[in-house]
Amino acid sequence: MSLKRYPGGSMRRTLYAVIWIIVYLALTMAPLFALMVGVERPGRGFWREFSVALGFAGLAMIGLQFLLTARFRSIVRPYGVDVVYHFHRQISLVAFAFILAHPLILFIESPETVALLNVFTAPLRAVFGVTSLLALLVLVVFSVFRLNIGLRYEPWRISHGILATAAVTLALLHVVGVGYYIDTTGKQALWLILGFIWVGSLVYIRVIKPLLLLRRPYLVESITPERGDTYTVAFKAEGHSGMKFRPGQFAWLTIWSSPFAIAEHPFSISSSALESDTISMTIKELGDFTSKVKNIVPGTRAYLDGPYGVFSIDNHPAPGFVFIAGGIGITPIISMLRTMADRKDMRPIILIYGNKTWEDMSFREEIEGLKTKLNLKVVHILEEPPSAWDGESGFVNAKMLAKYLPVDRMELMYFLCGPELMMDAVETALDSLGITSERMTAERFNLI
Amino acid sequence: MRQELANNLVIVITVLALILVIIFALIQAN
Repeated sequence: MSLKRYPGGSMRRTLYAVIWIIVYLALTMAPLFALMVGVERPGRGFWREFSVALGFAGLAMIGLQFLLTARFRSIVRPYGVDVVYHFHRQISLVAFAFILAHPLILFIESPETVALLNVFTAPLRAVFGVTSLLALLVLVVFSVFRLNIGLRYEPWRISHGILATAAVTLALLHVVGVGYYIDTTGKQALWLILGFIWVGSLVYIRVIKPLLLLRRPYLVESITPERGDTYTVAFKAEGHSGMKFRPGQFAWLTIWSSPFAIAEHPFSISSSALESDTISMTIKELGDFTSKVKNIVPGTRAYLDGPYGVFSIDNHPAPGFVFIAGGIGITPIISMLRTMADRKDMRPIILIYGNKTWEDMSFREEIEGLKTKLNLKVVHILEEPPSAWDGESGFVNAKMLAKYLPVDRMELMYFLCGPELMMDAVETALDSLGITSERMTAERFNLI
Repeated sequence: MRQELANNLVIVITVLALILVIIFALIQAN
Protein backbone atom coordinates (compact mmCIF):
# COMPACT_ATOMS: atom_id res chain seq x y z
CA MET A 1 0.00 0.00 0.00
CA SER A 2 1.39 3.37 -0.95
CA LEU A 3 2.31 5.91 1.67
CA LYS A 4 0.86 8.61 -0.57
CA ARG A 5 -2.64 7.60 0.43
CA TYR A 6 -1.78 8.29 4.05
CA PRO A 7 -0.01 11.63 4.26
CA GLY A 8 1.77 12.40 7.52
CA GLY A 9 0.22 15.07 9.70
CA SER A 10 3.16 17.45 9.58
CA MET A 11 1.64 20.11 7.28
CA ARG A 12 -1.76 19.81 8.90
CA ARG A 13 -0.25 20.07 12.36
CA THR A 14 1.70 23.22 11.45
CA LEU A 15 -1.44 24.75 9.96
CA TYR A 16 -3.45 23.96 13.12
CA ALA A 17 -0.71 25.48 15.25
CA VAL A 18 -0.62 28.69 13.19
CA ILE A 19 -4.42 29.02 13.21
CA TRP A 20 -4.54 28.27 16.95
CA ILE A 21 -1.92 30.96 17.70
CA ILE A 22 -3.60 33.58 15.48
CA VAL A 23 -7.07 32.95 16.92
CA TYR A 24 -5.74 32.89 20.49
CA LEU A 25 -3.83 36.16 20.06
CA ALA A 26 -6.78 37.78 18.27
CA LEU A 27 -9.14 36.90 21.11
CA THR A 28 -6.76 38.05 23.85
CA MET A 29 -5.05 41.03 22.23
CA ALA A 30 -7.80 42.59 20.08
CA PRO A 31 -9.75 43.74 23.19
CA LEU A 32 -6.54 45.40 24.40
CA PHE A 33 -5.88 47.23 21.14
CA ALA A 34 -9.55 48.26 20.94
CA LEU A 35 -8.86 50.34 24.05
CA MET A 36 -6.52 52.58 22.04
CA VAL A 37 -9.38 53.86 19.92
CA GLY A 38 -10.22 57.47 20.68
CA VAL A 39 -7.62 57.98 23.43
CA GLU A 40 -6.18 61.47 22.99
CA ARG A 41 -4.76 62.04 26.46
CA PRO A 42 -0.99 62.51 26.88
CA GLY A 43 0.83 59.27 27.62
CA ARG A 44 1.62 58.21 31.21
CA GLY A 45 5.04 56.77 30.43
CA PHE A 46 6.09 53.34 29.16
CA TRP A 47 6.11 51.41 32.44
CA ARG A 48 2.65 52.48 33.52
CA GLU A 49 1.19 51.66 30.10
CA PHE A 50 3.12 48.38 30.02
CA SER A 51 1.75 47.46 33.44
CA VAL A 52 -1.82 48.30 32.40
CA ALA A 53 -1.48 46.37 29.12
CA LEU A 54 -0.21 43.31 31.02
CA GLY A 55 -3.28 43.52 33.26
CA PHE A 56 -5.69 43.67 30.32
CA ALA A 57 -3.87 40.93 28.38
CA GLY A 58 -3.73 38.69 31.47
CA LEU A 59 -7.45 39.23 32.11
CA ALA A 60 -8.35 38.33 28.51
CA MET A 61 -6.19 35.20 28.78
CA ILE A 62 -7.87 34.16 32.03
CA GLY A 63 -11.25 34.84 30.42
CA LEU A 64 -10.44 32.62 27.49
CA GLN A 65 -9.62 29.80 29.90
CA PHE A 66 -13.38 29.35 30.42
CA LEU A 67 -13.82 28.63 26.71
CA LEU A 68 -10.88 26.23 26.56
CA THR A 69 -12.38 23.94 29.18
CA ALA A 70 -16.02 24.17 28.07
CA ARG A 71 -15.38 21.15 25.79
CA PHE A 72 -16.57 22.89 22.64
CA ARG A 73 -15.79 20.28 20.00
CA SER A 74 -14.48 22.80 17.47
CA ILE A 75 -11.93 24.00 20.03
CA VAL A 76 -10.72 20.61 21.22
CA ARG A 77 -10.94 18.68 17.94
CA PRO A 78 -7.71 19.82 16.23
CA TYR A 79 -5.46 18.77 19.11
CA GLY A 80 -7.47 16.59 21.42
CA VAL A 81 -8.69 17.43 24.87
CA ASP A 82 -5.46 16.37 26.63
CA VAL A 83 -3.38 18.94 24.73
CA VAL A 84 -6.00 21.63 25.27
CA TYR A 85 -6.12 20.93 29.03
CA HIS A 86 -2.33 20.92 29.25
CA PHE A 87 -2.30 24.23 27.36
CA HIS A 88 -4.99 25.52 29.77
CA ARG A 89 -2.75 24.69 32.75
CA GLN A 90 0.44 26.16 31.32
CA ILE A 91 -1.05 29.34 29.85
CA SER A 92 -2.82 30.04 33.15
CA LEU A 93 0.58 30.45 34.80
CA VAL A 94 1.58 32.94 32.09
CA ALA A 95 -1.68 34.86 32.50
CA PHE A 96 -1.21 34.87 36.29
CA ALA A 97 2.34 36.20 35.85
CA PHE A 98 1.02 38.99 33.56
CA ILE A 99 -1.67 39.94 36.08
CA LEU A 100 0.72 39.80 39.04
CA ALA A 101 3.22 41.97 37.15
CA HIS A 102 0.53 44.64 36.66
CA PRO A 103 0.48 45.90 40.29
CA LEU A 104 4.14 45.06 40.92
CA ILE A 105 5.33 47.32 38.08
CA LEU A 106 2.97 50.05 39.31
CA PHE A 107 4.41 49.78 42.85
CA ILE A 108 7.96 50.19 41.51
CA GLU A 109 7.02 52.97 39.10
CA SER A 110 4.87 54.87 41.64
CA PRO A 111 5.71 53.66 45.18
CA GLU A 112 2.77 55.62 46.66
CA THR A 113 0.39 53.15 44.96
CA VAL A 114 1.42 50.47 47.49
CA ALA A 115 -1.12 52.10 49.82
CA LEU A 116 -3.85 50.72 47.51
CA LEU A 117 -3.15 47.29 49.00
CA ASN A 118 -4.84 48.39 52.23
CA VAL A 119 -8.39 47.28 51.55
CA PHE A 120 -9.71 49.34 54.48
CA THR A 121 -8.55 52.67 53.13
CA ALA A 122 -8.23 52.03 49.40
CA PRO A 123 -10.92 53.09 46.94
CA LEU A 124 -13.35 50.38 45.88
CA ARG A 125 -11.78 49.99 42.41
CA ALA A 126 -8.47 49.03 44.06
CA VAL A 127 -10.25 46.64 46.45
CA PHE A 128 -11.77 44.90 43.43
CA GLY A 129 -8.32 44.58 41.85
CA VAL A 130 -6.66 43.25 45.00
CA THR A 131 -9.42 40.72 45.77
CA SER A 132 -9.44 39.57 42.14
CA LEU A 133 -5.71 38.90 42.36
CA LEU A 134 -6.17 37.08 45.67
CA ALA A 135 -8.90 34.86 44.18
CA LEU A 136 -6.58 34.06 41.31
CA LEU A 137 -3.70 33.33 43.66
CA VAL A 138 -5.81 30.87 45.68
CA LEU A 139 -7.03 29.27 42.43
CA VAL A 140 -3.47 28.76 41.17
CA VAL A 141 -2.25 27.40 44.52
CA PHE A 142 -5.22 24.98 44.72
CA SER A 143 -4.60 23.76 41.18
CA VAL A 144 -0.82 23.41 41.24
CA PHE A 145 -0.63 21.95 44.75
CA ARG A 146 -4.00 20.15 44.86
CA LEU A 147 -2.50 16.77 45.69
CA ASN A 148 0.08 18.19 48.13
CA ILE A 149 -2.63 19.90 50.19
CA GLY A 150 -4.91 16.87 50.00
CA LEU A 151 -7.73 18.64 48.17
CA ARG A 152 -10.13 16.12 46.62
CA TYR A 153 -11.11 16.36 42.96
CA GLU A 154 -14.80 17.30 43.38
CA PRO A 155 -14.35 20.15 45.91
CA TRP A 156 -11.39 21.37 43.86
CA ARG A 157 -13.53 21.59 40.71
CA ILE A 158 -16.26 23.48 42.55
CA SER A 159 -13.71 25.90 44.03
CA HIS A 160 -12.07 26.28 40.62
CA GLY A 161 -15.29 27.48 38.97
CA ILE A 162 -16.22 29.80 41.85
CA LEU A 163 -12.74 31.34 42.18
CA ALA A 164 -12.37 31.80 38.41
CA THR A 165 -15.76 33.49 38.12
CA ALA A 166 -14.97 35.69 41.15
CA ALA A 167 -11.53 36.63 39.79
CA VAL A 168 -12.87 37.63 36.37
CA THR A 169 -15.92 39.50 37.72
CA LEU A 170 -13.84 41.43 40.28
CA ALA A 171 -11.21 42.21 37.62
CA LEU A 172 -13.89 43.60 35.28
CA LEU A 173 -15.27 45.72 38.15
CA HIS A 174 -11.70 46.95 38.78
CA VAL A 175 -11.28 47.84 35.10
CA VAL A 176 -14.62 49.70 34.92
CA GLY A 177 -13.92 51.35 38.30
CA VAL A 178 -10.53 52.69 37.20
CA GLY A 179 -12.20 53.80 33.98
CA TYR A 180 -9.04 55.19 32.37
CA TYR A 181 -9.33 53.12 29.21
CA ILE A 182 -12.89 51.90 29.63
CA ASP A 183 -14.23 55.42 29.30
CA THR A 184 -16.76 55.08 26.52
CA THR A 185 -19.97 53.06 26.32
CA GLY A 186 -18.56 51.13 23.35
CA LYS A 187 -15.48 49.96 25.26
CA GLN A 188 -17.52 49.15 28.37
CA ALA A 189 -19.90 47.12 26.23
CA LEU A 190 -17.01 45.26 24.56
CA TRP A 191 -15.46 44.16 27.86
CA LEU A 192 -18.79 43.37 29.46
CA ILE A 193 -19.77 41.21 26.47
CA LEU A 194 -16.42 39.46 26.75
CA GLY A 195 -17.12 38.86 30.44
CA PHE A 196 -20.54 37.40 29.60
CA ILE A 197 -19.02 35.10 26.96
CA TRP A 198 -16.35 33.87 29.40
CA VAL A 199 -18.68 33.23 32.30
CA GLY A 200 -21.37 32.10 29.85
CA SER A 201 -19.18 29.22 28.72
CA LEU A 202 -18.99 28.11 32.36
CA VAL A 203 -22.80 28.30 32.51
CA TYR A 204 -22.90 26.21 29.31
CA ILE A 205 -20.76 23.40 30.73
CA ARG A 206 -22.37 23.49 34.19
CA VAL A 207 -26.04 24.12 33.31
CA ILE A 208 -26.86 23.73 29.61
CA LYS A 209 -24.68 20.68 28.96
CA PRO A 210 -26.07 18.80 32.02
CA LEU A 211 -29.62 19.63 30.82
CA LEU A 212 -28.79 18.09 27.44
CA LEU A 213 -27.25 15.05 29.14
CA LEU A 214 -30.39 14.56 31.28
CA ARG A 215 -32.31 13.95 28.05
CA ARG A 216 -29.89 11.19 26.98
CA PRO A 217 -29.52 8.86 29.97
CA TYR A 218 -27.95 5.40 29.96
CA LEU A 219 -28.67 2.39 32.16
CA VAL A 220 -25.93 0.12 33.41
CA GLU A 221 -26.52 -3.22 31.71
CA SER A 222 -23.76 -5.29 33.28
CA ILE A 223 -20.55 -5.23 35.30
CA THR A 224 -17.97 -7.79 34.26
CA PRO A 225 -14.81 -8.38 36.28
CA GLU A 226 -11.69 -8.56 34.12
CA ARG A 227 -8.15 -9.56 34.96
CA GLY A 228 -6.07 -7.13 37.06
CA ASP A 229 -8.61 -5.44 39.41
CA THR A 230 -10.46 -4.16 36.39
CA TYR A 231 -14.19 -4.04 35.60
CA THR A 232 -16.04 -3.57 32.34
CA VAL A 233 -19.23 -1.56 32.75
CA ALA A 234 -21.70 -1.79 29.85
CA PHE A 235 -24.16 1.09 29.40
CA LYS A 236 -27.35 0.78 27.36
CA ALA A 237 -28.86 3.92 25.83
CA GLU A 238 -32.26 4.61 27.42
CA GLY A 239 -34.75 5.98 24.92
CA HIS A 240 -32.24 7.32 22.42
CA SER A 241 -29.83 6.06 19.80
CA GLY A 242 -26.69 6.19 21.95
CA MET A 243 -23.42 7.73 20.96
CA LYS A 244 -21.55 7.50 17.68
CA PHE A 245 -17.84 7.45 18.41
CA ARG A 246 -14.54 6.64 16.79
CA PRO A 247 -12.68 3.68 18.30
CA GLY A 248 -10.17 4.95 20.88
CA GLN A 249 -12.20 7.97 21.97
CA PHE A 250 -13.30 8.63 25.55
CA ALA A 251 -16.29 10.09 27.37
CA TRP A 252 -16.96 11.70 30.76
CA LEU A 253 -18.96 9.40 33.01
CA THR A 254 -21.41 10.59 35.66
CA ILE A 255 -22.95 7.90 37.82
CA TRP A 256 -24.74 7.91 41.19
CA SER A 257 -25.48 11.60 40.76
CA SER A 258 -27.13 14.07 38.42
CA PRO A 259 -25.13 15.60 35.60
CA PHE A 260 -25.34 18.88 37.53
CA ALA A 261 -23.18 17.46 40.30
CA ILE A 262 -19.54 17.96 39.54
CA ALA A 263 -18.66 14.30 39.75
CA GLU A 264 -17.75 13.21 36.25
CA HIS A 265 -14.69 11.20 35.31
CA PRO A 266 -13.08 10.61 31.91
CA PHE A 267 -12.73 7.00 30.70
CA SER A 268 -11.86 5.43 27.37
CA ILE A 269 -14.64 3.59 25.62
CA SER A 270 -13.57 -0.05 25.28
CA SER A 271 -16.40 -1.39 23.10
CA SER A 272 -16.54 -1.56 19.33
CA ALA A 273 -17.51 1.65 17.53
CA LEU A 274 -20.01 -0.38 15.52
CA GLU A 275 -22.20 -0.79 18.60
CA SER A 276 -23.33 2.73 19.41
CA ASP A 277 -26.36 1.88 21.58
CA THR A 278 -24.36 -0.18 24.10
CA ILE A 279 -21.15 1.43 25.25
CA SER A 280 -18.59 -0.19 27.51
CA MET A 281 -15.91 1.33 29.66
CA THR A 282 -13.23 -0.77 31.30
CA ILE A 283 -12.07 0.74 34.55
CA LYS A 284 -9.18 -0.25 36.81
CA GLU A 285 -9.29 0.23 40.57
CA LEU A 286 -6.82 3.06 41.07
CA GLY A 287 -8.39 5.77 43.22
CA ASP A 288 -11.39 7.19 45.07
CA PHE A 289 -13.96 6.76 42.34
CA THR A 290 -12.54 3.79 40.44
CA SER A 291 -12.40 1.62 43.56
CA LYS A 292 -16.20 1.91 43.85
CA VAL A 293 -16.89 0.79 40.28
CA LYS A 294 -17.28 -2.86 41.31
CA ASN A 295 -20.23 -1.83 43.49
CA ILE A 296 -22.25 -0.47 40.56
CA VAL A 297 -25.59 -2.28 40.33
CA PRO A 298 -27.10 -3.14 36.91
CA GLY A 299 -29.98 -0.76 36.21
CA THR A 300 -28.19 2.24 37.71
CA ARG A 301 -28.69 5.40 35.66
CA ALA A 302 -25.58 7.02 34.18
CA TYR A 303 -24.72 9.91 31.87
CA LEU A 304 -22.00 9.96 29.23
CA ASP A 305 -20.65 13.20 27.84
CA GLY A 306 -18.70 12.47 24.71
CA PRO A 307 -17.14 11.33 22.58
CA TYR A 308 -13.89 13.24 22.84
CA GLY A 309 -10.31 12.68 21.76
CA VAL A 310 -8.29 12.11 18.62
CA PHE A 311 -6.56 8.89 19.74
CA SER A 312 -8.21 6.83 17.02
CA ILE A 313 -7.23 4.88 13.93
CA ASP A 314 -9.96 6.89 12.19
CA ASN A 315 -8.09 10.12 12.92
CA HIS A 316 -4.74 8.73 11.80
CA PRO A 317 -5.15 6.66 8.63
CA ALA A 318 -2.16 4.43 7.87
CA PRO A 319 -1.35 1.21 6.01
CA GLY A 320 -0.78 -0.51 9.37
CA PHE A 321 -0.69 0.16 13.09
CA VAL A 322 1.50 -0.44 16.10
CA PHE A 323 -0.35 -0.31 19.42
CA ILE A 324 1.86 0.01 22.50
CA ALA A 325 -0.14 -0.40 25.71
CA GLY A 326 0.90 -0.45 29.34
CA GLY A 327 -1.58 -2.05 31.77
CA ILE A 328 -4.99 -0.38 31.68
CA GLY A 329 -3.78 1.69 28.71
CA ILE A 330 -5.18 -1.22 26.69
CA THR A 331 -8.78 0.14 26.94
CA PRO A 332 -8.81 2.54 23.93
CA ILE A 333 -6.72 -0.02 22.02
CA ILE A 334 -9.12 -2.91 22.65
CA SER A 335 -11.86 -0.66 21.23
CA MET A 336 -9.79 -0.17 18.08
CA LEU A 337 -9.05 -3.92 17.83
CA ARG A 338 -12.71 -4.86 18.32
CA THR A 339 -13.81 -2.26 15.78
CA MET A 340 -11.25 -3.43 13.22
CA ALA A 341 -12.46 -7.01 13.71
CA ASP A 342 -16.10 -5.92 13.23
CA ARG A 343 -15.13 -3.97 10.13
CA LYS A 344 -13.10 -6.93 8.83
CA ASP A 345 -10.18 -4.52 8.51
CA MET A 346 -7.14 -6.66 7.69
CA ARG A 347 -4.46 -3.98 7.84
CA PRO A 348 -1.45 -5.32 9.78
CA ILE A 349 -1.33 -4.60 13.50
CA ILE A 350 1.42 -5.16 16.03
CA LEU A 351 0.27 -4.99 19.65
CA ILE A 352 3.04 -4.55 22.21
CA TYR A 353 1.38 -5.03 25.56
CA GLY A 354 3.22 -4.52 28.84
CA ASN A 355 1.86 -5.79 32.14
CA LYS A 356 3.12 -6.51 35.59
CA THR A 357 2.18 -10.19 35.61
CA TRP A 358 0.62 -12.75 33.26
CA GLU A 359 -2.42 -13.02 35.52
CA ASP A 360 -2.97 -9.23 35.61
CA MET A 361 -3.34 -8.92 31.86
CA SER A 362 -6.77 -7.49 30.99
CA PHE A 363 -8.40 -8.98 27.86
CA ARG A 364 -5.67 -11.67 27.61
CA GLU A 365 -7.99 -14.36 26.24
CA GLU A 366 -9.94 -12.01 23.98
CA ILE A 367 -6.75 -10.69 22.39
CA GLU A 368 -5.72 -14.29 21.66
CA GLY A 369 -9.12 -14.81 20.01
CA LEU A 370 -8.83 -11.61 17.96
CA LYS A 371 -5.71 -13.01 16.29
CA THR A 372 -7.99 -15.23 14.21
CA LYS A 373 -10.09 -12.28 13.00
CA LEU A 374 -7.33 -9.72 12.47
CA ASN A 375 -3.89 -9.48 10.88
CA LEU A 376 -2.58 -9.17 14.44
CA LYS A 377 0.78 -9.98 16.00
CA VAL A 378 0.99 -9.69 19.79
CA VAL A 379 4.14 -9.17 21.86
CA HIS A 380 3.65 -9.53 25.61
CA ILE A 381 6.14 -7.93 27.98
CA LEU A 382 5.98 -8.85 31.64
CA GLU A 383 7.54 -6.92 34.46
CA GLU A 384 7.36 -9.95 36.76
CA PRO A 385 7.32 -12.98 34.44
CA PRO A 386 6.54 -16.49 35.70
CA SER A 387 9.50 -18.89 35.96
CA ALA A 388 8.75 -20.71 32.70
CA TRP A 389 8.28 -17.48 30.69
CA ASP A 390 10.16 -17.40 27.40
CA GLY A 391 8.71 -14.09 26.16
CA GLU A 392 9.91 -10.53 26.71
CA SER A 393 10.36 -9.21 30.22
CA GLY A 394 11.09 -5.85 31.84
CA PHE A 395 10.00 -2.65 30.09
CA VAL A 396 9.59 -1.66 26.45
CA ASN A 397 12.87 -0.37 25.02
CA ALA A 398 14.42 0.51 21.65
CA LYS A 399 16.16 -2.88 21.29
CA MET A 400 12.89 -4.72 21.85
CA LEU A 401 11.00 -2.49 19.42
CA ALA A 402 13.71 -2.90 16.75
CA LYS A 403 13.31 -6.67 17.10
CA TYR A 404 9.55 -6.69 16.42
CA LEU A 405 8.91 -3.72 14.14
CA PRO A 406 8.85 -4.51 10.42
CA VAL A 407 11.19 -3.02 7.81
CA ASP A 408 8.49 -0.63 6.62
CA ARG A 409 8.01 0.65 10.18
CA MET A 410 8.30 4.32 9.08
CA GLU A 411 4.96 3.99 7.25
CA LEU A 412 3.00 2.68 10.23
CA MET A 413 1.06 4.73 12.76
CA TYR A 414 2.01 4.29 16.44
CA PHE A 415 -0.55 4.52 19.26
CA LEU A 416 0.80 4.75 22.80
CA CYS A 417 -1.31 4.46 25.93
CA GLY A 418 -0.06 3.66 29.40
CA PRO A 419 1.70 5.14 32.42
CA GLU A 420 3.44 8.48 31.87
CA LEU A 421 6.96 7.11 32.37
CA MET A 422 6.35 4.26 29.95
CA MET A 423 5.05 6.58 27.27
CA ASP A 424 7.98 8.98 27.65
CA ALA A 425 10.40 6.04 27.34
CA VAL A 426 8.59 4.58 24.31
CA GLU A 427 8.45 7.96 22.55
CA THR A 428 12.21 8.31 23.01
CA ALA A 429 12.81 4.72 21.86
CA LEU A 430 10.66 5.18 18.74
CA ASP A 431 12.42 8.46 18.01
CA SER A 432 15.78 6.67 18.15
CA LEU A 433 14.43 4.18 15.58
CA GLY A 434 13.64 7.01 13.18
CA ILE A 435 9.87 7.15 13.75
CA THR A 436 8.83 10.79 13.40
CA SER A 437 6.48 12.45 15.89
CA GLU A 438 3.82 12.78 13.15
CA ARG A 439 3.61 8.97 13.11
CA MET A 440 3.01 8.73 16.87
CA THR A 441 0.01 9.59 18.95
CA ALA A 442 -0.39 9.12 22.68
CA GLU A 443 -3.31 9.20 25.09
CA ARG A 444 -2.59 10.78 28.45
CA PHE A 445 -5.25 10.98 31.08
CA ASN A 446 -3.74 13.51 33.46
CA LEU A 447 -6.41 16.02 32.54
CA ILE A 448 -6.47 17.73 35.90
CA MET B 1 5.35 14.57 22.75
CA ARG B 2 1.79 15.92 22.77
CA GLN B 3 2.48 17.88 25.94
CA GLU B 4 5.57 19.34 24.28
CA LEU B 5 3.29 20.52 21.50
CA ALA B 6 1.13 22.37 24.05
CA ASN B 7 4.26 23.75 25.75
CA ASN B 8 5.55 25.06 22.43
CA LEU B 9 2.21 26.75 21.75
CA VAL B 10 2.38 28.37 25.19
CA ILE B 11 5.93 29.64 24.57
CA VAL B 12 5.12 31.10 21.13
CA ILE B 13 1.91 32.73 22.38
CA THR B 14 3.65 34.18 25.45
CA VAL B 15 6.43 35.73 23.37
CA LEU B 16 4.02 37.16 20.79
CA ALA B 17 1.66 38.44 23.50
CA LEU B 18 4.55 40.17 25.26
CA ILE B 19 5.65 41.79 22.00
CA LEU B 20 2.09 43.05 21.40
CA VAL B 21 1.85 44.34 24.97
CA ILE B 22 5.14 46.21 24.53
CA ILE B 23 3.93 47.67 21.21
CA PHE B 24 0.74 48.83 22.96
CA ALA B 25 2.75 50.42 25.77
CA LEU B 26 5.19 52.13 23.36
CA ILE B 27 2.33 53.61 21.33
CA GLN B 28 0.41 54.74 24.41
CA ALA B 29 3.42 56.01 26.34
CA ASN B 30 3.80 59.15 24.24
